[in-house]
Amino acid sequence: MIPVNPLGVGLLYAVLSLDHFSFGPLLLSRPLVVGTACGWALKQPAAGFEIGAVGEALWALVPPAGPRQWDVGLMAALMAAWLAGDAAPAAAPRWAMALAGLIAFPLGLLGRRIDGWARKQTRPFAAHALEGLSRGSDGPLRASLFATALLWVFKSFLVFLVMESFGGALWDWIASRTPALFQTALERTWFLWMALGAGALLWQFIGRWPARSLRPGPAAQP
Amino acid sequence: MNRGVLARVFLRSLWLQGLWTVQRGQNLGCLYSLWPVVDRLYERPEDRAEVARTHAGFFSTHPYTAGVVLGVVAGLETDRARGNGPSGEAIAAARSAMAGPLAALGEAFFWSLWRPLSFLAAMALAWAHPGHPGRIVLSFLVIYNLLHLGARWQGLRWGFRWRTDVVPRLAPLRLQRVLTVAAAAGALATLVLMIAAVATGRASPGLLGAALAAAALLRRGAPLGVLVAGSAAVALGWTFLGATL
Repeated sequence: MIPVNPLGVGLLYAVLSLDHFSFGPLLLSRPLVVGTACGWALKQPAAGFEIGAVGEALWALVPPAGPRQWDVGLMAALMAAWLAGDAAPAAAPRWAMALAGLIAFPLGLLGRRIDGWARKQTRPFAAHALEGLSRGSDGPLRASLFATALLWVFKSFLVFLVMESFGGALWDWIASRTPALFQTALERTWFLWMALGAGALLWQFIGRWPARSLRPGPAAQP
Repeated sequence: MNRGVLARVFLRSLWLQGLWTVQRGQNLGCLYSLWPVVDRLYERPEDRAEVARTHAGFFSTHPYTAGVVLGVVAGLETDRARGNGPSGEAIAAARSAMAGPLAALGEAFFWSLWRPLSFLAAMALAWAHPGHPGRIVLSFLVIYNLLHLGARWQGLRWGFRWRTDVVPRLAPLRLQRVLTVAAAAGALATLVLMIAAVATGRASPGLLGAALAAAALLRRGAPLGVLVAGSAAVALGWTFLGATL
């Protein structure tokens, strides 16, 4: 039986994932927002916020839209859902967050490929919209926008449920058998990710120093 | 063209990314945004179809700076409908010419600077008022989107008012200088937060060193995914070696 909580969280994540597909982006699909929202829905707001904050810093280099974007919010949603499961320790210690992150990361990469495939399936809708416009009507365009948004929410919901179930089973199995030494190692991993997030944030500012990247080249100078 | 029509263009422009395709980019989102203007200017479906054909080519820009392009196109289409504007091809060419530079500006400012700056502001707030994750996330969204939505709306209005003169009129804003100052402020704020975390005992000096090392590795082109997995490997090795020795 599928528990009620993951279903609700899946729907919440699926609606928020629209943000990087068609509407906005208002940053609703970023890890900070998705992690906190899912954590709040699962009555673990502090854990959800910490997952979201570390995820947001770690993936600071991933833009919310455009060719380089991918759904980093999925990982935050999965981690928040697993941490609220039955096998999770009550206070969601950091080793548990790190373990969830290690399982969520490859699933996030898989989700990226699924997103790429799903985006290509919007072509028939685009053709339908263009056909309507060639008649001077924007009705089919509006219908196509609505239909693709609905399909995207459905896709995200399905992806979340499948990954939450399989990844969650793996997480439960490992979490209940993790010895103390591994827990220490995983806790250190979480702290290293925090440091990596801070480094990524720093690099986001220094590495894109606009004075260098936007300055005209020698040929453009008088 | 009244403010109500522009407001409808603005609201519709939030769907600019919808129906994005490799072949045509955001062209359908662009047409969807402009439709209230087209609808107002032309009564006959054939005329509206002609405008749609004009703008059916590839179009791609940053969604936040697209307001300027949409404003310019709406203004030029208004002139064309009145019989004193450029041809449809000239409008499409102006749209394409502006898309690239505006995309670069949006990428450099909103993605690379404003988003992490808003996040830093939220983190500073979390530090000052711990225990209110919902309010902090809400602050993050408000800080970020106030400027984002404001820039979209104002860009649309400027584009519509100044048409293709918008570029020389925006030049005195010295956007490059703004980008430089924002990047420096962001780097400084990140460093200050990191040092404060160490000074108050919330983080160890080793983590500060690890953060600086991570920034240096990213500078050398190390993929982030490898660093994430590498951190876990380092932590495992460190723990087991510590337990063994």
